[in-house]
Amino acid sequence: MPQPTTKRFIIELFFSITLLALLLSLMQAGPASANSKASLLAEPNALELTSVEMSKEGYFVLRSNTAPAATTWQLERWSAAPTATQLNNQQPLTLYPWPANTQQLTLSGFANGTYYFRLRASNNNYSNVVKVQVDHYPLWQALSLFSLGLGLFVIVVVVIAKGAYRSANATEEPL
Amino acid sequence: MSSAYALTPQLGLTLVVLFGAGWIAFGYWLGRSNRSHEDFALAGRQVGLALAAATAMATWVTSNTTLVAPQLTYQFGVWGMVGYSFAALGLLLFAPLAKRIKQLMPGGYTAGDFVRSRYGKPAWYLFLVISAVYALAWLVSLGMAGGILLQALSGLDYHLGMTAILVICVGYTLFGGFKAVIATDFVQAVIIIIGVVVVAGLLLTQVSVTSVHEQLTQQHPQLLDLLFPAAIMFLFNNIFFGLGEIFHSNVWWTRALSFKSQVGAKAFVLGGLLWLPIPIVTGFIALAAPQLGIFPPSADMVGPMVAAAVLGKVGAVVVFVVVFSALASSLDSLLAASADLLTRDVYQQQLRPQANDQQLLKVNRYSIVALGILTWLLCLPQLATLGALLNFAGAFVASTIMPIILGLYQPKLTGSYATAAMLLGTCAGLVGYLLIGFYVAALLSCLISSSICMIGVIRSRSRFDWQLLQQRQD
Amino acid sequence: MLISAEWLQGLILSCLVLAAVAPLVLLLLWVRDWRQQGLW
Repeated sequence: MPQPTTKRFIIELFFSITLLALLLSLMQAGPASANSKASLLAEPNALELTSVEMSKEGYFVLRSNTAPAATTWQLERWSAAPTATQLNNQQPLTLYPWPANTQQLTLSGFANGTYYFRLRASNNNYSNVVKVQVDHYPLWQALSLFSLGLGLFVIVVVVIAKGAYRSANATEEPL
Repeated sequence: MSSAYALTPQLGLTLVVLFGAGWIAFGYWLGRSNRSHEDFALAGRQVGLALAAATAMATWVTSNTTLVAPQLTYQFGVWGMVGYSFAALGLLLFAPLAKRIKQLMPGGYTAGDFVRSRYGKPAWYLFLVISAVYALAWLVSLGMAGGILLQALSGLDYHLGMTAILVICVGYTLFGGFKAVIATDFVQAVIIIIGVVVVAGLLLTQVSVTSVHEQLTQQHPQLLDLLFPAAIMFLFNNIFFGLGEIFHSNVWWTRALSFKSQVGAKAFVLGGLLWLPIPIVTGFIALAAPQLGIFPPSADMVGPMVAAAVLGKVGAVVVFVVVFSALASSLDSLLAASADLLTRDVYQQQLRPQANDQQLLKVNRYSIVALGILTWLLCLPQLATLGALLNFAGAFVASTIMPIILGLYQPKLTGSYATAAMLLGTCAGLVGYLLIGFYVAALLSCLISSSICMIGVIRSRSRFDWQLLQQRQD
Repeated sequence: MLISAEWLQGLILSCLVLAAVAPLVLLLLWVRDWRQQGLW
């Protein structure tokens, strides 16, 4: 049997792991709050749109520096980096209604490609254009993880099935 | 939707008060017949099939199914909802284990009891740490979800909703004990399923699956893609997370121990089968969102937003009732099961082995209140990162899968290998989470821990005597 | 490789039917247990 110090060591180790994990998750949230500070420092009236540059899952969050009081704002999607004249003369590919009272919108389901977005407020006040690159994980990577998971899962099921079968048939085994 | 919130604050508040008073009164009524600590903690160990299956199903339907299933569907599409419904495998595979648990330790109280008597104290300490990390992360995420839900639907302050759900659940669990937990679970299970079916059914009268499919093919094709890489990667990780959650958690062990012996396995199979279609039905709600022109601020709000848009005010009330039931049915179970662990594994084993039945009953009640207060304090600052802590829990809980299974069936696995498996599995999972991504945490954790267990079984020369399990309980 | 509209429809409708039957199953079992005095 291990000494009490070993026990304490194990417990302390685990608590420090948990603490570390918590700190790291706080750090991950760090850059986002830095961004919002930066946008506060910018011109207070300008409508500003921000987003991640890369998504490997086909979904991403777009953030605005202000929130509308009602659902009157629209997010525009453009096919290519639009020039100023195009922005004024052409129609965007798609319009997404921006929800009321929030500073962010989540879009999903995009295939590989580059997407451009601009936010239009009700008073014809436009934001900057942001670019999001969608680049999914390679399929081989996904399928190898899938196979690994499947293999491990089959092992788990077999171990349970064998155990259950044996314990059901081992009537002589004392309980 | 021109107005900002689907419900007025007055209506939101009225619903909370009505709900709270109803559940607490019900809990009080149920708790009158509790005489001993065994009655309070395990409902007298004679729970029948109907209540057993309903409590298994309802506890597993948490905010996870009503909010996260639409969220995952919105993010990962068809694989998101099908993959999420695979979490039912956790309940189905726990069925044989539940039977074995009841057979090996008919007089046992907690999962901690088993780990201590099977693997010895070092493994037990480690197991308690893993249980604590998981239980706290889950409690906090449930409390926070209650606050966020009420705020999103009615504009009431986050702290009010969070406090309300905690007070309600602590209240009826305190009065009624485990009986209140499973009886409310039964009612909540029926409410949840009916609510989800009504919302999805009414949604189908407004949009057809064909038109949803057409819209998604044009605008969000990845959601329908069966070879969506991120979704394929997430699939098995999610399954192992679910297995780890169920296999290790005292929430499920107290259920296995409280069900009648011939009922246990059946109840988990039935609970799993009843649960299986729910994520797909709630997931469909999210798939229809783009068709309805609804794009949520964050992916987890997509379900409530669509329901409110489809059904208007009635929809918002239905969503409120369903999600509040889902939250409550898990929160009460987790409070009760964690309080049992504190009472049995900390108070009785560590502090006062000679405690009598009435003392245990009292400590169990204090533990429920203490856990409620602790959760309330942790929910108070509304740190999103604390909610995200639940993601890390995958690395912790998946490391217990093999040690638990082999501990129940394979006499060759010893305590030191089980301890090493849980410790190194958790570390591997956390490293994987931080270096590769969330979608490998549970997978790596289970992989490493299983490998260590296998080595342990092959190299072992000792055989555990199952009778020791019974003797060490007393 | 996108899932076809028919498969998606089949998946969703079958799950909806299963979910709709579930409360009935639970209530029937409850009545049975209650009549046998075996609720708990």
